[in-house]
Amino acid sequence: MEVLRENLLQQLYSDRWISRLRAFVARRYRDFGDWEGWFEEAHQNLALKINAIPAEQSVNDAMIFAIFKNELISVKRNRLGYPRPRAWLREFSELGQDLFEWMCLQKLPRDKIIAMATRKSAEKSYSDTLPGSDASHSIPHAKLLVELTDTMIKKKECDGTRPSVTTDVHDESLVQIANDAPSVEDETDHAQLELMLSMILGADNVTAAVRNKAVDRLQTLRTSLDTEPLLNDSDILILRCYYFQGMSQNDIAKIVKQPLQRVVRQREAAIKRIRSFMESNGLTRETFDL
Amino acid sequence: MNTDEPDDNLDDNGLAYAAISLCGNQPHGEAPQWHELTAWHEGTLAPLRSEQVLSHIANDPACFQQWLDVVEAQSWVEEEALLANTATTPDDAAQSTTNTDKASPYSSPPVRPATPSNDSMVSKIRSLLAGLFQQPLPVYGGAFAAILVAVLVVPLLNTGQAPTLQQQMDRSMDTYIQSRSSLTGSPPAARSTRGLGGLFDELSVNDVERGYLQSGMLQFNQQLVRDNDTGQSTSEAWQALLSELSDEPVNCDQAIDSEHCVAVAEEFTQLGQWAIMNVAACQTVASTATDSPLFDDEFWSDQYALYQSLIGQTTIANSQLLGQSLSVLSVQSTEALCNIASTVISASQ
Repeated sequence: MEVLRENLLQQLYSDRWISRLRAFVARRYRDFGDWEGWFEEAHQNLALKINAIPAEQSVNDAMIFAIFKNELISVKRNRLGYPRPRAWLREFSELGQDLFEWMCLQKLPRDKIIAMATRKSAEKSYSDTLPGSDASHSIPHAKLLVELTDTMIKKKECDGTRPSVTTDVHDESLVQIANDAPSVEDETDHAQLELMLSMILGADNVTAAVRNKAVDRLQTLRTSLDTEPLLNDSDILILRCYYFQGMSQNDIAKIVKQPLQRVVRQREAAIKRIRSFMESNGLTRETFDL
Repeated sequence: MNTDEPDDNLDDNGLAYAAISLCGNQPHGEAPQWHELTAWHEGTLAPLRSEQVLSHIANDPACFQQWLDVVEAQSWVEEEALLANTATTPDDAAQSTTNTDKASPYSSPPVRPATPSNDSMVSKIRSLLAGLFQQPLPVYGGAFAAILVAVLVVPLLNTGQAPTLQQQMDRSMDTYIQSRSSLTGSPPAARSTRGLGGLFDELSVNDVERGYLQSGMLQFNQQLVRDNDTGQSTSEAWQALLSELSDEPVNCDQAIDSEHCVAVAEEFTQLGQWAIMNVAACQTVASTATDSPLFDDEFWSDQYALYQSLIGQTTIANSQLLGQSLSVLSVQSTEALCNIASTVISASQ
């Protein structure tokens, strides 16, 4: 086992691996002057991470790529003193990070941000489904991208963002970054509830009066749901893939290795349950006289 | 997007965001490492750990992203291998990479083959065989067999994993759910007066096994109601039984034999699922016309295979609760499966 791991580590320094990983960094970050330095550091960190995996665990190419990508992100953040988005935006995983980077760090205009996010979503290759083949689903996802971008602008998301704390990048992972407690958790929690409101009731309808009335109600509901979950983990995973990532149901069925019909039924049933929960708890426009 | 959804003002994106913000569960167990994420994706983790890893992937956006990275990278690797295999020369490979819109972001022109091409593999084997035939005769047999094993069997071992018991069970449950049948008729009567184990004293071995069987039955029913919307048509007799079953997880701290409690959890839960599904299927078959069976031969073959696998488990074979009621079936018989499933349901109450 040890010998195998040693061989693998040697392979990571072979021309084949170096050229593949280097090409990835070049494609993404050629515009940054020090991208080659980032590659070197991420490559070293990759070797350390691989070495730390128990020898009896097999390591395949996909795992190497995934670890490298995450190490590269850590290096980049560390080098640039990267501030990170607030909790509500991080809920959208890479999409949230990208929107934050384009708007707050690269200062791109709204339309360009939306165009880039749309293109990136379509380019994701989770399966052999052709990009954009699920045309009916691409419309609501595009709407989500617009909503998120507008919410960021409205909430002045780029104001007062905190730089990340510089730590030893070798030990830093995306999970650790995400688990850092926000300095103003209440504020971010509030922001999450507010976004929820604007998505449910419409951004223009969320006045101070509506906000005060609804936020308390949402917080009470959240507490009650902690003891009596409405959705299971598998439901949440499917919702996250379908609505937040814009994946087609076919893609989801393939990557979670379940029959398409089951995924379709599970998603529909989850939405149906949450819809009736919201309605029975008075979280609709009618209830707020909108 | 679902086009037949109710035409009200709650938009699905908003509902999904509300669902995750309000209903997101707390992850449990240790946060998964990379190799565990990969193993989870490949379906090779133990059931308990698999559930824990799912709870992290579903509820922690950073962990979700890590899993997506693994999925995405796997897709790239497969594409890259495909490109390398279809291209006969490095030039062809480079050409095909530059011509595709979905080229792996990791590939660099010119692409080096990720795996040896079929041609080079064949020529290697050919030269190896040529070398072998210069050896004394007895060497040929063993070496040739070794090559055949390496070429024909090893790739199969690496790629062809038999489905786990739970995967087989899930597939069967899916078939059942697709039949849109519900729980009709009456459930088999309880074998004995219901025990009060755990309420006033410690849980006996039988209480524990009964608890897991009930848990499996409830899980099946929950899935049926959730995925099939047939809850309304469940018969009153079944509803009465299901409402009386405990939906509390078995607490092994309360068990007389806590090791046994942990060891039998998975198999007895699966047996509970299997039993209720088979009793329900048997009742449906008995009440419908025989010229258009809802459950085909494949379904019953799967049930037979599942049953044989379940009784092959030491925990089930040694069960005091079920005793001799689970007999080995030498031939597949739907009637025998129906009887055994009824016996399990009776014993579970």
